[in-house]
Amino acid sequence: MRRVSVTGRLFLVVMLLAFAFPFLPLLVASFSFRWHWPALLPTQWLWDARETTPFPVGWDYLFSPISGLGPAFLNTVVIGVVTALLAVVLSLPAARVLARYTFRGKGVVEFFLLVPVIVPQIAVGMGMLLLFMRIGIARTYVGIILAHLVPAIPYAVRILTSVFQNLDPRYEEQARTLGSGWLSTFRRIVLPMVLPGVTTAFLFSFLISANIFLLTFLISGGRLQTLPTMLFSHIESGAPLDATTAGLVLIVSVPGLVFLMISDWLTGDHAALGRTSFGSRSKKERP
Amino acid sequence: MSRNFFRDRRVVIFLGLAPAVGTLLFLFVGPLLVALVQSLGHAPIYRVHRFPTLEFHRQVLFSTRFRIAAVVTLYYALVPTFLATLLGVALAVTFSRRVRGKRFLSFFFRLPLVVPYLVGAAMVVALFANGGLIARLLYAAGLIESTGQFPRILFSAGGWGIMLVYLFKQVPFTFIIVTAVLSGVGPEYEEAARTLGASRMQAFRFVLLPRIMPGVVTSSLLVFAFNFQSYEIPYLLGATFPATLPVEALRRFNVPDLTRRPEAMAYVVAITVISGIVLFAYLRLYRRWERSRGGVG
Amino acid sequence: MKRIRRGALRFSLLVMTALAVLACGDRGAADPGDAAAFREAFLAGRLSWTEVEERAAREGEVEFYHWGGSEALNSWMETSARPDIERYDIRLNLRRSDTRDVVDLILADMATGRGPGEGTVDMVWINGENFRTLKDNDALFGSFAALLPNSRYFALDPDDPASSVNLFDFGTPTELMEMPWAAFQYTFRIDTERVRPEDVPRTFAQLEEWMRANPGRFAYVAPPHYIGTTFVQTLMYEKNPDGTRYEPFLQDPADLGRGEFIRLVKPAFEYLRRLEPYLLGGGGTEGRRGSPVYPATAGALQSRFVGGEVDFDMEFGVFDVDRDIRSGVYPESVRNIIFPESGMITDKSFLAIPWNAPNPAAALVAVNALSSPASHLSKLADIGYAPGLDLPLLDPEDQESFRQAAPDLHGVTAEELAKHEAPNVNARFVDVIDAIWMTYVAERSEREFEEIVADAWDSVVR
Repeated sequence: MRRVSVTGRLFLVVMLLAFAFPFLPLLVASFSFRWHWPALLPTQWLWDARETTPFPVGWDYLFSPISGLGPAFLNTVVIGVVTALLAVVLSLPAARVLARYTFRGKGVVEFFLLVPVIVPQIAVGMGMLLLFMRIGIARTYVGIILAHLVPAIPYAVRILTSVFQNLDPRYEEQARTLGSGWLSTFRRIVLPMVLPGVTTAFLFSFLISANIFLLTFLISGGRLQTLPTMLFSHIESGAPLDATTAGLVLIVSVPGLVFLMISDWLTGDHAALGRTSFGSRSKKERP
Repeated sequence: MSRNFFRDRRVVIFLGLAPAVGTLLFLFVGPLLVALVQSLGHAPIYRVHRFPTLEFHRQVLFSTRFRIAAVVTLYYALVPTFLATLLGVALAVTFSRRVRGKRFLSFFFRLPLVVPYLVGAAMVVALFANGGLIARLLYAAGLIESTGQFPRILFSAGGWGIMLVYLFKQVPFTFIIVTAVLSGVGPEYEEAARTLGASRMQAFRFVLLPRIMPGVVTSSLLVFAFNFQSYEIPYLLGATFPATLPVEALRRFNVPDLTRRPEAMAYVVAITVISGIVLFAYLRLYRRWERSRGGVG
Repeated sequence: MKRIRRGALRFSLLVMTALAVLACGDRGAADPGDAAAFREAFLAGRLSWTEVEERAAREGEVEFYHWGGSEALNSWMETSARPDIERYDIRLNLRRSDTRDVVDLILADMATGRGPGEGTVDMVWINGENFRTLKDNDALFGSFAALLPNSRYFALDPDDPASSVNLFDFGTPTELMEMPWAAFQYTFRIDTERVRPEDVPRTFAQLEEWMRANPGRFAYVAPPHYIGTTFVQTLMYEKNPDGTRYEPFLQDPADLGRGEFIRLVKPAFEYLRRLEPYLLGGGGTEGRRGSPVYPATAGALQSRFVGGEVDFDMEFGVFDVDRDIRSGVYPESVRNIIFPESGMITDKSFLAIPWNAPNPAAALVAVNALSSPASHLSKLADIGYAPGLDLPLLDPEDQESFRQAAPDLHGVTAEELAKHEAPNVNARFVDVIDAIWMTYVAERSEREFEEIVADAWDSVVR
């Protein structure tokens, strides 16, 4: 393998700075109390002002029951977990079929299962709100979870299809000819082999759900807050280096960070994220 | 009988596909149909009974506001798509070489990908606002005397703030997809080409690029599709006027007068159609390119 | 395979049931027919307050929707409103939401056939065109305000001139369908580190001079955000060619007439266009528009003010400066100013109960709890919200504690502020003003002003 050139190395460093550095000022801002133009660093820190503020600010505010951060965090996690579970359960059979069988109209089905990713969510969201109002699930957990399934299922199907593609059906057949029942074949042979892929699909669907803003915003109508909708209203009404917003940005980044660490630890492969989503498809498409 | 029934290929295929396809039919096609029907004047919930009428579509499509919005939306979507693809491919190719600290680098190169776009928005505001950190650094260095001298990146028609957020998220996205494709290609081809006397540029153009092209097309397609319909970023960082199509759509959705909702629906139908046309044209172009390449090579 | 399928089926049924429980678990338990009967009996005065309190405790919770963009207010809700309401065995569910979204939610519930007791919202902090929209759609609980025990602290007698601020909300008669909750005056603020108090303009004409001398240092919030709409209204008062300031704008648009309206507001909108080059992001010289920046929210303007980009901030609330200095939002050098002398808009905001409130009795008890002198006092002392009740109706002792609790006004006096009070426009003008501003100023349409107003007028007034 070729060594990276000097310009290449410089490029990598610049990119590293562009992606990692922006978190730093927010970290500083989250501990600031007064940080007005043109100060390069806060002129007063949070810990010096705690006694004199009329109400908690910054981290104190975020971690007090007032901010609503707790419920928002819990909502995000609950909605994310249920969405991910449903997405995986609903996508598993489809993925197995797409990986194992060729049939007429397969291309159409594959395309249909991909389209939600590229069709404007604002169109889906507005129509969905009216539909959900009709059946009485707008502004409920159910409504939000169902909304989140729209972008989650296509990814889950993609990931799980590649999982089944890598799973040789002959293992199953062999186990069954050796007298193993369907259930035990599934439990002993299939499950262990697909589990890492299923976990990835689950994590990926969770991440998608945890990062959705617009669909939640439209369907929840302010009644249920998640981390992204909470962050939205803070950015909308807050100053650039406002301590509370900055702290919230860091908290909202937590699910993603955890996801990244788990997926690295699970796969030991930094490229897995790309391969399991759409990279594999492109490879397959090569003429 | 039932055992055989469940062994039937067609039944297995149908039952396998049913959960995912059925869910999406209900959750995805259903809402789109609702939006379409409402835009055609059927919205009894808001006391609009004028189905079928093209009145709302006409009202929207023939307004200057819509045309300007369509142009800026395309502009805000296309520029970052192009730049993200360029930078993402360059990053992936550079990264595929022997680099020290690969795991460390890769962690940070993927970090923006896993946080919401709103996080990027907060960062861009903190750094690039006229009273933000970069302006303060320039002020401290004596390069500017007031906030007004710092270039206006946010909240202006140029949309640089919006595009910066897109880049922050989408360079990593392109990077990761191209990296995945590259890891399937392997370094052998390129090295063989170099050994046979190809320049670095030639090796990239004639050996590497054709192999990663499908990945590049996929990622840029998804990036464009996202940018074109994004709401929160242009809402938070864009100018009051011109606004993007999704922002205009939600503005109309939010007027207290509910009988005007079909206008908003006409907007989202237009957004869907325009986005579809662009994506379709792009895919056609790619297929033609691929075919022509097949013809020559 | 069949066994697996059945297992999967059972699992998905389980999930669906769980989801259904989740969905329904938060529905109010009250019987709808019962709620309708309660509403009728209460409004007819057939129920004692004890009976209302008993029913409220049975309902057990209240859904309170309020704008949640203020950390100060959110804090007060938690530390003061919650214990005050939960004392009556009512759990307070605070829902932070844009008021426009709440109106939408209530109307959508009604459109899908949810009657009394079946809605989502019990009470909402509201005023202006949002209140009018609810009223126009018969979406309000009814004339409850005077029936609350604590209504004795509010001037609600139509014959008393002091009552008009409680009985009219942006010109819309409240008909006692909402309870006054807080009073706000629209004030401008400066940073004395950047603008010397003696250079401060006192009229929009002087502001124009100041802006020409200091191009790029002023911005106002974009309508339809209410801070932006109020800015335009304030300007309309001063630029009213008849010198009658706010008077013509109090009546219903239909009574004023389109032609007259055009004549009265044209100078104000011409002013806005003329000044564009001197706004933040403007071209800086006559005729060069540049790309003026209109912050979308009050928060966005404030962040530019403390970020050193502009020298003026504007918001409703005379005590904000004190609060925001103490909480680190403002530098210590920020002061209120008297601007413009032609009138600083003063209004009240209210608590309203929707027609289909799921817990109507709890809502009544909660509104009553938040209408006590003690509650208004803590709101003033803790977060600087001027009381919505009328001080002259309180005991002298209580009046004194309100005077003691009032935060510092930083740069102005209560007398000056009172002298420059002006009422809000009729709510029906608000959408017209927003539509004109969007086309004439933001979009800078080439069409004649008269034509633009006509369009806006016809689409809104009808």
